Amino acid sequence: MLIRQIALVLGAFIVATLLALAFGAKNLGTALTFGQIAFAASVFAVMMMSARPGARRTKE
Amino acid sequence: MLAHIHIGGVTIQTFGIFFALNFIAWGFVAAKRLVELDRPVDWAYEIVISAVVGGLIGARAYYLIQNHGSLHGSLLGNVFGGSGLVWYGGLLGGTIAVLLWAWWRDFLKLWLLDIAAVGLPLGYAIGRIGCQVAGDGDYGKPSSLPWAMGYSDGTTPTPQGVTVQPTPIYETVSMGLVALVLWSWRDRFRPGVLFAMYFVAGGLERFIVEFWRRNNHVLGGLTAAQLESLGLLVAGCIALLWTLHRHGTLRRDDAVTPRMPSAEPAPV
Repeated sequence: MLIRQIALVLGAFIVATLLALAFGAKNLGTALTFGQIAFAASVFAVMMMSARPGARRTKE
Repeated sequence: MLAHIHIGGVTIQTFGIFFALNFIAWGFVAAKRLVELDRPVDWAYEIVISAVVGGLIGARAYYLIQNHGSLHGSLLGNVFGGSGLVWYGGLLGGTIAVLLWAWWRDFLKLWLLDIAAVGLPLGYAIGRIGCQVAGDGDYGKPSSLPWAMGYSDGTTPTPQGVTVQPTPIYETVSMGLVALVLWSWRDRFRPGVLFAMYFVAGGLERFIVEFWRRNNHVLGGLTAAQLESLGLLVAGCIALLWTLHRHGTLRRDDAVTPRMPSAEPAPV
């Protein structure tokens, strides 16, 4: 599960960087900035959408 | 670089946009976790507001203390004017403010620290996008790597033709992964362990990235941020070792182990 999530967010980073390059980003650093934004957005989305690991409720 | 954008005659700093998004993300994470812990979801707003106020005061105070020698004019003018926020000051101020809120709400428990253990690296990862987009000087040393870039339009511009390491990108990726991993482990460990792990991971990340950043050395060839990172790293290790010594394990007694698919046929 975790490995799949990590692969997903890194995939978002790579895809957004490649798209930025394809659409004419000035240089690789600028393209990576778009990858950075896509990465952070996908990390947040995965965290919000992922189910709680295990079914047991936390007890204090 | 896009240091600011203009909407309807209003100028908005892009760094400020990501600074705000960092706290909004924090709020969502805290809300989701509070629901899981059977606590009022409204507490998420209170936590975030406390963290914003305490974090801003701490980050600004730390900057003023660090740069008191180069400041001019009145104290009030320096407190409320210009830019200058330091992450570690924000961390300290935000932590104190949230702890005060928790004491007021009678929620001063280690679970609270574990919520912060996920929100802090996530917020850091988002905040660093603001640094990257604004080119505020948090970039690295001159470099000729293929992904090195210039920040000639940034708020702290690089000289024309000079390319540097885009360290904010490294920091977003590393701390984003830390946030994701700690979030997936949130029910696996004893209360407080995630926060100690965040100290270790966060300290290690900043310690390494500082070798590529352009901050001045202050002691033994290390920057101030590296010394602070070492402090975090040591504190985190001590907390983990203490937990291990006291309980014999870092895992929760009732931690759920994911079930492996059985090779035997299911009973009919």
